[in-house]
Amino acid sequence: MYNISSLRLTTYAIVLLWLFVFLFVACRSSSNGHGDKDHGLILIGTRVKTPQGRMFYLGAYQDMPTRVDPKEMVLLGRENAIYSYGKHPYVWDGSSAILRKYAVDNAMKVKVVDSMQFKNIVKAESFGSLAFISNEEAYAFFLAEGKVIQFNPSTMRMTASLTVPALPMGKTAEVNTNTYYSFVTDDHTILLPIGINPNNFDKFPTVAQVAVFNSRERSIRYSSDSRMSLGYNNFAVDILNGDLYYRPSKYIARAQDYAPVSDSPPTGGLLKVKKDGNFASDFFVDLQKVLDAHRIVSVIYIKGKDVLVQYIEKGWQIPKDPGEWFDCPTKLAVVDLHQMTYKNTPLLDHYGTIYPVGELDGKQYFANFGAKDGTYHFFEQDDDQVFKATTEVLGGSGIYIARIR
Amino acid sequence: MVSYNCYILEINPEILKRYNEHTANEAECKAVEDWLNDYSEDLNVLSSNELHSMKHSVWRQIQQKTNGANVVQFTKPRKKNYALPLTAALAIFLLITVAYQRWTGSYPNDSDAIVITSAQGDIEILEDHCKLQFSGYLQVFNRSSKIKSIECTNGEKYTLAPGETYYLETIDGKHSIVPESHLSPDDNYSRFIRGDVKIYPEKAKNNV
Repeated sequence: MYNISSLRLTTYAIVLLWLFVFLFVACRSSSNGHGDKDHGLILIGTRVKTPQGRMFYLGAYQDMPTRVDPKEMVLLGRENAIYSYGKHPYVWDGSSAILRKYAVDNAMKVKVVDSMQFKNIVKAESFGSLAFISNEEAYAFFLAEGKVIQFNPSTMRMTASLTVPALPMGKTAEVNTNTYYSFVTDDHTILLPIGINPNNFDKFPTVAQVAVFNSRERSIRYSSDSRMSLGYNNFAVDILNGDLYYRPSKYIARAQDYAPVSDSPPTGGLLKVKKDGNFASDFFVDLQKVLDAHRIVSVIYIKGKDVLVQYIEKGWQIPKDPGEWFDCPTKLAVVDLHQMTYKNTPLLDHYGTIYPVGELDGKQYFANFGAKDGTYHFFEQDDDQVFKATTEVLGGSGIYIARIR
Repeated sequence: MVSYNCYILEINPEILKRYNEHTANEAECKAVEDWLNDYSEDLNVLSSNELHSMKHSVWRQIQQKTNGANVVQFTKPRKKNYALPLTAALAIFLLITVAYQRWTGSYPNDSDAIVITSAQGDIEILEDHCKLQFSGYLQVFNRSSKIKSIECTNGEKYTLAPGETYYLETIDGKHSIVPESHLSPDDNYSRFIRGDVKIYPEKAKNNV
């Protein structure tokens, strides 16, 4: 019989087959690039320098990538804080006072699936972190104005607006709880480190302070300790056992260099914070004294008795202009808390400044800025090697890492 | 009856009827198909109106069958199909456009301004130099590709590198400026932005 149709059918069938094969291979290669989905996904946040200023990006991966590129990530904005709980990323946008809930689709694209507007409820600038208790219970803290917003992460609906005592030092200086993280204990107590960036050094803070929120009673209290001054970004977790420490802050170290006050408590110490939010009365180490340093800039990690400390050497000439202070030369040392000795390490010579960005599969991860070669990396804290560069970040620094399931 | 020496068999209504009814033998089928594929439109062959209409009838039957099998309709006479290359060209164009937008779209557009952020929002300054009076803690971003500068009312001047962000602060009544590149990304210093600013250049665009 006449064979026109079968000839055309064959041609179209071949084209369709090729299309199908192409799409199948594309999907498979996309999946293979990210690994096995059963293990959950790795979320990576970066802060990249763009023509519009530094911007936050978020990407999802099934395996730890060797390189993350903002072109393959979702642009979040310029004032964001990234969190995750369960299988969803949550991103606070400080410029619009919106909390957005994201999901990762089969093509590994991170997409907004829901959002909550806080603009008419609280002031965006008083935001101080989220804390997740369950899939139905989470809190957003605005303690500078004495408010805690309870919401349901599943429905992204507000369930309660709580009025609580505001931060005790909130009205005298630029004080707030940390924007990027909070700690939830086993009994659902939420610990929020309180930090400060004092512009007016006459109001130098004279106590260390932590906000302690009891999610069962929905009440807050403030735990203080006069052995140290108020820090900023000031919790560090012991990698070995999860113990929480109150660590020094470079902002307050700078303030101390220019402050007219002379009887302020040490800024370069280390306090231990118990699970109930109280400071351990039997633990305090003045790292500045142990290192005989000019100032302690930061505690990067605590691993049992070993504490990795970034410090400024004694004898450094304080610049007249406080704006030049952050460009100070620093050194890195491992302090032995048992022996009260230290050993300098040359890590900073190559990577610049290192800071913690999150935990992945039981390992602490760090990121850097100010490397001599201008590169940015994520680093895995390893038993055998202090830092192992795992992932190069294109265009800027890493800011967040976590696994969602 | 029509005879045409290119065909072994004569094409007549009976053969065509058998072809349509699938009862024609192999030789008759070949003769009909060769005849259908002949586009010479030789008038000698098509002298009979009856035969002409029969040829259309055969084509109609073929089309009905092929359409019934959900395949693309075979049209006669064959015309050059411009739709396919046009569609392909459009698809390539769209792909290139999307790829370009993906490549460049991940970064917002550039413009030639200094952007000062205070508690009141953003102010864009188009001039290369401006004088300002401020309180609190401000963010200053040189969004342009050239060096710009600002001068505080107390006489302190600061140079702004292209594409760099700074924080202006007042400590004990004295202004200072901190480049964002000196600050650790894990310190969310933009949260401390507060206070107000007054700009003295002529070309200031308030985005509040």
